[in-house]
Amino acid sequence: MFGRVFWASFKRAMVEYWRYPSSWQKGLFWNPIQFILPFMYGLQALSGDRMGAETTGFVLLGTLCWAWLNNAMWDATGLLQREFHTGTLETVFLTPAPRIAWLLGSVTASSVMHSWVSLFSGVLAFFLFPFPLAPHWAAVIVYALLVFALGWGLAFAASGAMLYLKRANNILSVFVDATLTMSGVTFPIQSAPRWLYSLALVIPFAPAVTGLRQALMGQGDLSGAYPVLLGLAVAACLLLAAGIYLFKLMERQVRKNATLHTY
Amino acid sequence: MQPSIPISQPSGKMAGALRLVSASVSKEWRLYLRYPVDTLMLTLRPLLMFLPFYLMSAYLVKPDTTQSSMFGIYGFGWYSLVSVFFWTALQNVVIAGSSFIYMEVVQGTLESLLVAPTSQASIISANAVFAMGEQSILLLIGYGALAVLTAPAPSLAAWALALLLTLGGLGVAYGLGLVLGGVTLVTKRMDYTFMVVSVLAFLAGPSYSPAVYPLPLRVLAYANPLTYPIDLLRSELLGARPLMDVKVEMIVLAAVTVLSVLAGRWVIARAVGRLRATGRAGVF
Repeated sequence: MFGRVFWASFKRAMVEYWRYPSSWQKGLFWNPIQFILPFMYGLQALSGDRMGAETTGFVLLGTLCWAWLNNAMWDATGLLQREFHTGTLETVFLTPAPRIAWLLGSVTASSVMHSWVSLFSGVLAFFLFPFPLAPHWAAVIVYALLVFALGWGLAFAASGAMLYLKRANNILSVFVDATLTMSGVTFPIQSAPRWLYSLALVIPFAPAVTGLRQALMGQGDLSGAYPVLLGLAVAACLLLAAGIYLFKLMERQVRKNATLHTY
Repeated sequence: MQPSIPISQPSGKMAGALRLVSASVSKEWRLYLRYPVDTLMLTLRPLLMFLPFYLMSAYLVKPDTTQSSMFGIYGFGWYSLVSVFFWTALQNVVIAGSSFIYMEVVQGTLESLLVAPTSQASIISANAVFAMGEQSILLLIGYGALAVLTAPAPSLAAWALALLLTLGGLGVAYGLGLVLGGVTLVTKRMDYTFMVVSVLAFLAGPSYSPAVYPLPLRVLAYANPLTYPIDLLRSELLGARPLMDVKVEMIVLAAVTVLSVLAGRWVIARAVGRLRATGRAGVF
């Protein structure tokens, strides 16, 4: 059942991307133009001719990661919002289909699509702002998977909040933007003041983004990174479990209050 | 229970339009009061857009002192804060019309709206008017911080000019919002609105002057109607170096304000007419 629902949800989302090309074409605009290029040109405006290649790579990869996570999170909550507004959420939830499989199918499709968009954005930005790229592929894959898992955990938690609050775009936006901003996407967290550094340490995205960035720039491989990877794997499992738990809890609550399809 | 949008007893076109705007603003306001936490978070969003730029300048790269005229007398922090607050306000006004139409589409009520004996342009405008009021409050917070925390604070004349430029910028955003609302009416999707808004935001220079762009992008920045209110505001309020002569920019701003509002009303009328003629209001 889980696999069938997952596949049906995944296929539906992919068919929609195919049917409405503007949905992914938007990503091609939104990703580089909203998240990456403003920071790259901002960096250029700030540093004049002093913009080093390493700094360029630092900001470019950080903002690329941010764009990917941001899109994945909004696509998951967007699915619930759309079903709610079209009045079909209760119908979907009355079926015996596992909700997590339904959500995961859609989030996976979104992740696949946004990975291609991110790759395109990254290549485009790399040609405009070259920097030393020397990926340790094994480390890149491991860190990318951990970033995926963390992002999905956050997406499930956000979906639960959306289910309960109904009108929560601004709350979620502030939460996600704050989380990612404090993850050191545009600045090295080690050089930040102690309070900011401490805050970044408790956000699991910070070491994941840093690790992925270092792996792509050839500054770190898997050897010696096991303690960080283990910590991240535990954090990813915990965040995924917490996200799924929160989603189920909110679903139970709205069923109890009979507010699944109403405000 | 009183209907939210009075569609009967019209006593003149203007009075009817005003009643629509008033009802729509009142409805949106009640929604804000109904969800106070969401409303509070709305005020924090521009700050969250500003922080990544600020943290980048504070902990990654110190501003180049030879570029100081680009950021004005208060430095990059204030330059970026005012820019981001103003840009967020304009962006939210541009998006308001499209969001309203998209909600009507997904709720399946677009056709009912289009067959109602009322002005569709006024209803869409009413949402943009509310967004303008809401965003003005956010702007006041940003301006208030600038007035209280900087020394010497901008002069009264600079504030008066800033107010005028804010109104001009909101006018351009209102017109563009109507144009994109018309596009959303026809396509039934907000994707094109997001695409256009992201391009306009980038070209206007969200936290820096478009002067840093290479020539092809700079040419596009000059063609962007939102470049002018933002550039003029930064120049008049913060003493930043403008893109071109201030008087020329002001004339361009006045022209694009009028043109965008006229274009917006024309596009909405065409889009409504097209949907009615083709019978595609309720279907994709």
